Amino acid sequence: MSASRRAAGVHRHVGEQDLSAFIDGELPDEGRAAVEEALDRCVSCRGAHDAISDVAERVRGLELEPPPAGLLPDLPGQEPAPLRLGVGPWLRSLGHPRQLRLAAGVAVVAVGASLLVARVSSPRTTPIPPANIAAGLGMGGDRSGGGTPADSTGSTTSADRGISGAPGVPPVHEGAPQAIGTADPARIARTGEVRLEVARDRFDRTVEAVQAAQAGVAGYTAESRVSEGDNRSAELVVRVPTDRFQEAMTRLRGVARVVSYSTNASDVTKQYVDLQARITGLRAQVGAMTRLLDRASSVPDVLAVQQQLGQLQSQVDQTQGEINYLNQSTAMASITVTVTQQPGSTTPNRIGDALHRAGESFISTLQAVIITTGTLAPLLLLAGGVLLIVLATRRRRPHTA
Amino acid sequence: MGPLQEGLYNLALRSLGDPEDARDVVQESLLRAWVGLPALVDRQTFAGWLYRIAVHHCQNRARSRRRHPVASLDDNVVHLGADDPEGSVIRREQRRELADALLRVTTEIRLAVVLRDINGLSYAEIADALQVPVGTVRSRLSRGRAELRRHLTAASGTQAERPAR
Repeated sequence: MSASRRAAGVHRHVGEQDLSAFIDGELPDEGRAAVEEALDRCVSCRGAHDAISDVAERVRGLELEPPPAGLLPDLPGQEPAPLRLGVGPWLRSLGHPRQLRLAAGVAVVAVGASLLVARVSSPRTTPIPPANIAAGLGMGGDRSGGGTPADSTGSTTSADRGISGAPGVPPVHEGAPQAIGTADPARIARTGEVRLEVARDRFDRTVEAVQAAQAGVAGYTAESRVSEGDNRSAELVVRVPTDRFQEAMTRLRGVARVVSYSTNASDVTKQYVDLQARITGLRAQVGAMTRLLDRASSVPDVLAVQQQLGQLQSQVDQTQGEINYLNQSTAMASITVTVTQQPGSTTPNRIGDALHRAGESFISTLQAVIITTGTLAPLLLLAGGVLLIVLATRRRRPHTA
Repeated sequence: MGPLQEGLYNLALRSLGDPEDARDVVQESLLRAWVGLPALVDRQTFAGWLYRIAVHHCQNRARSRRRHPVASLDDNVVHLGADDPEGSVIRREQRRELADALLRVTTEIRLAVVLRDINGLSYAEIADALQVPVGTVRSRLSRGRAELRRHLTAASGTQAERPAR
């Protein structure tokens, strides 16, 4: 640029982009200084600046329209309690669903931690006899060995406490691990196994005695299988109230000679608490989604919400099923009773046995005779007919000769 | 949702020019945000993330509405001040002109202008919402204001010529 042009006020005009950014305060300092200098010196630049600024001001002057009522879907958290964590207002305005999840997570962690601390810090009131644990069965507990030889002296007895407490909330038992210091009572799932051996002629009576024993503690037979034959056996799965588990075991062991028995106790309290927290959170989400569904105004929205809702409902059902299973497992203990016939133990009455065998042989022989006769009868009839014809023919020949 | 809800609604309203569309867009955006909220890792990006969703829905809605242009949002609105009815009419006419002018620029430019001058976002925030570089935001804003000025000038000229006809 020559000195004469500079003296005449000729300079490079500021571009509209720079002016626009200058008006918005988005120019860096050096660019800003250059624009300010140009505006001081150039009428044309000032005019362009004022024109852009005027348009921007007019747009900014458009009044904000208040959103219509009912615009916001009815989410939990439309008006949540103020957060004290110092997060931004936007989080405060939409914070409730996250708060809900956060609260559920914190609750689960707190309960889990308290359970852990309680289990670590508090001694068990009465440890389970190692012999019982050694042959424990089922329900996710450790199965650390085979059957334990029966103790004929009977070391476990318990008073009949009756069925007490709310459904699904069994009382704490002796010999079971307890969670101390938690709001929920400990939930113990108990299982047992008893193997009995009896003589052949006492088999049926023993099975009946097993059923009578479980009925005596308000139990019932959940499953039964009987195998007939030379070595008869029966397997019964009986369910008894958990608080009468030890009594049921004692009664069952008194029915016949015990080959082995075992018990197992699984503490499912943490699992139960986790499931409860999970289903609470899921139900809250289902509620929110249901309200969203009411608000959805377009088909894609409805489909999206319905898809989410279906998945959530499925998870709720599955979790509820697991809770029901745990409730049932902790309210009613399961005992598997196996009754087998002693090997080679037949009735000591040999004469009676001989008569029994003779009778069976007689019937078998009679069956064979009947079958043979029935089989040969058509052939005999045919042979008799042929014989009669032959005889008749022979009698006619001399007469005709 | 307070200010953010108001901002989203006005973004949609000024971008689309139709209150019903704006309502739909905001509800769709909030629904998407609600469904996708668990996947949002950085809470600090929430406002920008929500604006990004709203911009996306505005663009989709604008695309689907091209075959069915709408009237200006102020056509059916009459706010006459009791003390200054003439001034109210003039202001209303100016708002209508501006709203019309806004609807004449392209959607991309309109979104940039609305996000800046109505929602008050910075260039960086606008770039994040529109998923474009900051330089593109500068360019669109500059072009947008120039086009608005041209449309407004043309509208004023038409208004001025009307009595003469």
